Amino acid sequence: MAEEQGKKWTLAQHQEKVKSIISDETLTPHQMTYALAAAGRDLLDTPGMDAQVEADYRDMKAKGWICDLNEGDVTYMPRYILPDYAKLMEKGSDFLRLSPPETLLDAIMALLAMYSSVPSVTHFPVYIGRLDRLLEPFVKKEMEKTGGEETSFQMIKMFLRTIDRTVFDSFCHGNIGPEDSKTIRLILRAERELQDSTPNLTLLYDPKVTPDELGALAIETALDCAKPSFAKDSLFREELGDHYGIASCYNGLPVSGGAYTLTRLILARVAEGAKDKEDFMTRALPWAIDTMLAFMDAKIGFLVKETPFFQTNFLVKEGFIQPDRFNGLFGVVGMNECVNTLMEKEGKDGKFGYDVGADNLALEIMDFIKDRVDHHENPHCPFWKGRFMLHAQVGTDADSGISPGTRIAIGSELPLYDHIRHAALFHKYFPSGTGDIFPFDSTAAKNPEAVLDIFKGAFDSGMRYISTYSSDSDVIRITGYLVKRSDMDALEKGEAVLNDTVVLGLTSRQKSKIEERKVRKVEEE
Amino acid sequence: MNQDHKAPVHKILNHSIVDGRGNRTAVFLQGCNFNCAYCHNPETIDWKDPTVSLTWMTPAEVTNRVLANVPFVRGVTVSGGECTLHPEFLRAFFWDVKDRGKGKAPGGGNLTTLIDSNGSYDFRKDPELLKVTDGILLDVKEGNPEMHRELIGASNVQVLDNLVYLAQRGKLEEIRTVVVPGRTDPEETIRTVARLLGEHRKQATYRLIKYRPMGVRKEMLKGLKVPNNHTMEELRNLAVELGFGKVIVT
Repeated sequence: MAEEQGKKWTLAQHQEKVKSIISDETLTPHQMTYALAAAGRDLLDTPGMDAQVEADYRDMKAKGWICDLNEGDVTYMPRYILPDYAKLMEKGSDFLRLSPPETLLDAIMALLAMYSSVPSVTHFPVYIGRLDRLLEPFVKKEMEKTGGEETSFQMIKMFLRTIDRTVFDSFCHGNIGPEDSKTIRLILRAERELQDSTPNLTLLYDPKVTPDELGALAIETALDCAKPSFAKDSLFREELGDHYGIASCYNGLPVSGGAYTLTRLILARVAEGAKDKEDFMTRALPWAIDTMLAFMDAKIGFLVKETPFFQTNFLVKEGFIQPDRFNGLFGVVGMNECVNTLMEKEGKDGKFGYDVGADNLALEIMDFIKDRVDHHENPHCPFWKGRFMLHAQVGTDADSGISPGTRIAIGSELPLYDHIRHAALFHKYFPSGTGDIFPFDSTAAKNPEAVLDIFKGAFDSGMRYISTYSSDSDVIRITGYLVKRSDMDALEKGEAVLNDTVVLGLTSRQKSKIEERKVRKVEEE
Repeated sequence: MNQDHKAPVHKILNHSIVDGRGNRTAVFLQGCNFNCAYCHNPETIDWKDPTVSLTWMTPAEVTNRVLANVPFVRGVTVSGGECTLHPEFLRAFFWDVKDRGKGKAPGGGNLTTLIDSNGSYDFRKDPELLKVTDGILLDVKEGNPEMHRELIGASNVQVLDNLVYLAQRGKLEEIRTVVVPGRTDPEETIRTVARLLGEHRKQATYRLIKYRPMGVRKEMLKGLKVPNNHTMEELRNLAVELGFGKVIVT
């Protein structure tokens, strides 16, 4: 339901909205269609919410405490879907009229065909599989046939380039590793040559499995083209099982499953709305959590019971996904500002990241949120034992003065090791995703083993996900997604660019000082 | 080990990725017996100068600083000045790092110890130090004896003897030559190093460093030129042709 200041829109307002979409000169036909779909969806009310809770929700949404991340009140498709693409390789797909691939070209074609039928909140696939594992058997065959790797390399490069040019947004995520293979090296080589923002890429890293030399090569690649990021494979496997993937920005989710919805609690705003710490902990926070839980319940109930997706979609029917592996994601954002606001209201000086009292308050808040969310049951989330998963939401382009998840604000960064140790305090709360970014001076590329040491240390310290890019790379990480600096510059000058996400990147660059993120030098006292 | 041997510490970098393999803590000791015209941290040369800021620290104190950086560092590199002017400190410090740094490197290895040296110290005479040192980053500033004397104010005989001895002992972590057009003969230096190392060059890492005027004393700047990239690439090619295991240009 569309609303303004908590009041439902009139029919005339809806009509005005539709008119403005179809007359907007800046929208491509695709973007226009997606905007119209959202406008249609917004005619519906959230079903199944208690009247008082719904009133509270409207109020909190208007105040900016809770944000639906443009999903609207009703969801008719899961936000994140992680199909089991290995099944496509084994069995093909009846719906897509594809038999099991036999050659590398077949395999690439089959994947590209399937990607266009995997929906999500952005209408584009947010997970495109473990690319090296999917393609390795075909690459090996191709190399035997051609007696070298060049043909395979060219095909993989075309594959990745096609994804960049047909998936117009950077929330599309491929996974590689942890083991070494011919294909993983071809992918890294291709990414360095392509310098594209899509797909996002994560190395599922395990120092016991991934050779150091490959780990260093991945770092060198990241310092060249801002990907891959590194995920602590052993931790994700422990929590989610072997069959997991990293989707969208950095979201750990079960493969053959995904997430129904992600709604976020903007802690920074909730803190502003509380009198003091006690009011925050005993009234505002629990009230906001409970309201958001009720909203998520209603939304998931509608998706599961009132829409046909889980009954009729070929992904379900052919076993690429299983309804019992989907979950609700309870997002939190703006811890940095939340803690600083509460400290100020308490008349204390300490700042998040710089004061033990402030950091302990953040941990107390996280423990409280985790406990309350864990005590809430939703019948449609059997994978996570009926609970929602916590997620450190990375922000949106609309945010101003709200730092991603539990990250320290840009401009307030700590010395390298202290910053990593601080980030690590919070990573345990977020099995469905969190992460921090450490750009390095470009000369770090001469000693990638050193950056690998730091990443290993970060994982040993309790971090689960870490990214880097270099001070002079064109592709950079905004919050979780990637954008080309050259695309943002072009858009800023009023030129059209292909990728939707560039708009988000440019707004964030202007509002959230992304390019002022502390670049780590090759040495630090 | 005797913990009484304090050393004059100029500064400690908790994180350095330019002082040997991996991410390391770098300790800079004050005082040098060479006086290189192109020295980019000349403030570390004189350790008797009362205006220089330095801290006298025990080996254990410095080890504590290194251990505070666990699990992010692979080990420590001691540089200078010329750190081998303080051999008693080095022996005790490295012994302590090895003792307390077991299993503390990223991924669970032992912390390692490196020395960044101008090669003036006779390593043959200090087996105790070599025992606790994983490798030496050895400056070979100039292969030609006359040019070396002119540039540095000291002989290179000991440097070249160390080059061979450390390689034989498997302790030659890296060879470093700064390229200063007109003042050094890097081509001859590279050839001399290759000849002296013989078969050992296949395992050796050679770092060719472009001279940069940053930090260099004003009165020394005259006559020091920055080599162009073409020169550096030619030198790289020469070193590769001569069969060095790894050649790095920085």
